[in-house]
Amino acid sequence: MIIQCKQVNKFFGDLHVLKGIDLEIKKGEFFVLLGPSGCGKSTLLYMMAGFDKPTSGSVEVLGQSDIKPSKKVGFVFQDFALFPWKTVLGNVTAGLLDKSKTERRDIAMHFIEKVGLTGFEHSFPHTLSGGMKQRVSIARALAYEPEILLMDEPFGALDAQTRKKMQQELIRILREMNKTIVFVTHSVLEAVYLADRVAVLSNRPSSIVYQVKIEIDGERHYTDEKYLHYRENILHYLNQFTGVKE
Amino acid sequence: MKKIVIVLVLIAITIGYAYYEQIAAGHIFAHLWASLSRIIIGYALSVAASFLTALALSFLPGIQKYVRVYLNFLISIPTIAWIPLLLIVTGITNRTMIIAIFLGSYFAIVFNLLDGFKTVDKNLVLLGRNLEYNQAQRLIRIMVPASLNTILVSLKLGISYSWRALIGAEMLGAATKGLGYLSFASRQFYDLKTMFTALVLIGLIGYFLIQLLTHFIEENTIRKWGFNDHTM
Amino acid sequence: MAWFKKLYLDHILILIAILGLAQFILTRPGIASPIFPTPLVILERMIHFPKIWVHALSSIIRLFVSVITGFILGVLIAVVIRAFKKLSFFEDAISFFMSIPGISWAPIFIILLGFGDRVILLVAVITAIFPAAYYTWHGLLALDLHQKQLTDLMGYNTVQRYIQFVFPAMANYLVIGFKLSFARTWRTIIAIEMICATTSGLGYMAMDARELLNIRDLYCGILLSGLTFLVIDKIVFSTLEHYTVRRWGMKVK
Repeated sequence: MIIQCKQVNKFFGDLHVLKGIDLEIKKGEFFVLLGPSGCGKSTLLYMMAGFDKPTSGSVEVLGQSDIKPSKKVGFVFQDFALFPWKTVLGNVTAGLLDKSKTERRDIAMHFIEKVGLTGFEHSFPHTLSGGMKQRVSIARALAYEPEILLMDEPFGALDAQTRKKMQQELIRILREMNKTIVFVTHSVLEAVYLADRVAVLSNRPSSIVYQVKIEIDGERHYTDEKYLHYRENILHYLNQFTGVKE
Repeated sequence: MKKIVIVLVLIAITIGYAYYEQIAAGHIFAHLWASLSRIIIGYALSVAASFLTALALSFLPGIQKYVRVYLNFLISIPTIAWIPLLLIVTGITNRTMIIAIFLGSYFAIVFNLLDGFKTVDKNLVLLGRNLEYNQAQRLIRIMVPASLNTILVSLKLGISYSWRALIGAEMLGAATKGLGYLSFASRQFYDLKTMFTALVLIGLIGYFLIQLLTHFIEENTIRKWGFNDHTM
Repeated sequence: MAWFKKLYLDHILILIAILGLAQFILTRPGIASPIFPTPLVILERMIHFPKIWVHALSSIIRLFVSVITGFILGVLIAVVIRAFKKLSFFEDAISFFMSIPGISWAPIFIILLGFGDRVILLVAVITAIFPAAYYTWHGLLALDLHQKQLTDLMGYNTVQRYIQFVFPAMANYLVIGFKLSFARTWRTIIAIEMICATTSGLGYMAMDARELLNIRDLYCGILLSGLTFLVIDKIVFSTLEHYTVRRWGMKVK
């Protein structure tokens, strides 16, 4: 198990956010945390990254229970969190300070090419579209070769068209790299499209109400019968525990 | 750039006029330089000291909360209120005016810098931890550039406060040279020409100092990075 | 009263500790000097010399009179000029006038009007006008076009339009302008009282004390001029802000 949560509880003051979360994520798995807004799924992700600590219970990542933020774990933010004062190249090399200058550049160029941004190395973030910014952010996280990639609603700020395209590209990029991924979203469509496994969180105080393995061979299509079946199933639990309808 | 050139031309015209009219017995430039040299020294000291203070305080979040209360109070004191006291303690010297310039901007810059650090995007701070940046790297690579907007505002605010403090001090008799002194001394001779010349120069130079900061720093940094904000 | 909750005990204890320490250090032989009166001496002076409070009050009255007049004038100037034309140089002209320290107008008016309250108020009003005009101008430029079209659709006349829409829509700019006018005018009033007040005001008190080498009073003046501003700024404006722009979710600053 690369990530293991045992009876995780989290309070913010009096607010009970997470309640008795038990999770196990295997190496190489694409794991999606699905839940309504404000349910604490991002908080869970922050704990895995070491930004936050559980009030009780334990979170173990890579066999360590006292997690400090480190480059073994990559993090992709919803609002991209790019440095506006650096070019695309500068942003992608931000996690490679321990390498030599030429090495940094080579690695960064490799990943910029991988996310399809060749030609934009010297652009500043504010000149890029939302989708392109998120590509930069993904390239930055991949560049320092983390074992785990945590993604906090990475496509939440994008429009529907771009979002679909990014999902396809993400699958393509990640299939080659075989990384463990924890992906937070509140879109059922996105979850079923991307995941190996989906966990559904309830409203606050959140607990996991449903877990399902998505077993669809080959490429996934929104109109497949199997796809729709999983979608219905997950929606059923979402409706029951959160009153959310999609 | 256009504005700076226009202001410089206006300053040159005013000085030319002053020489032509034999204002201040033809020594207008000496008065100008007296004020300018004071503000350069005092402001440089104030900026250096306030940056060091703000950096030190940014490493001490526990103390910062309490220091802010007193900073708030010290900012509220009009700089001019210190001057009668300084006149007694340090006398009619350049030192008095440099202290006044310093007091005029130091607290305000420290306060604004701390505010700037506080408003840095939280995700950028988290990212710094994720990328295993050490304290110095976090400061240089994240905190300072991310709050550059506020830093610039505070620098501009600082120079305009300092300029005001200096003119006030010169008027209150801390000097025997300088634009503030010139304008106030000419009151005794009902010399309106001198007074207006001094007033125009005071305004133009204050404006010029702010534009200088705006142009040379802003254009090369936050404009290029697409920060859009104009307070001041 | 949000500010009241912030007055925690720890702050009070720290204040007492600082004052106690100052009292202790400043009474040590070798350090004790008339240039640095101890906190107790200053406190005693404030209690036993009530005229200090009269001086403060007189400065405060001047402040309110001139800020309110100057602010209204500044807003009107910006609105009128904007209503007639998009004068791009207006902004530059205003920022030029804003960079003239208020006090440097004083000599001119002293020549024209002599010493006294008239000059103080005039210079203070002039100081208050420019920040108000500057931020009103920016607020007018930043008005949302869609909202403007909406008021056209609803058939507002000019007065209704300003009261119902224009001023509320740019309330955050007005608040910044007012606060800046306020801060600058306070500074200017203290300064100008130093050179041309005849009977009262904190600035007058400071200059008077300077001539008599009365150092305690100078410290009292410094303390009071800071405290007065802080109290007005924190209580009056924070409350005002709290119930208007913050409640409407506008960004101030």
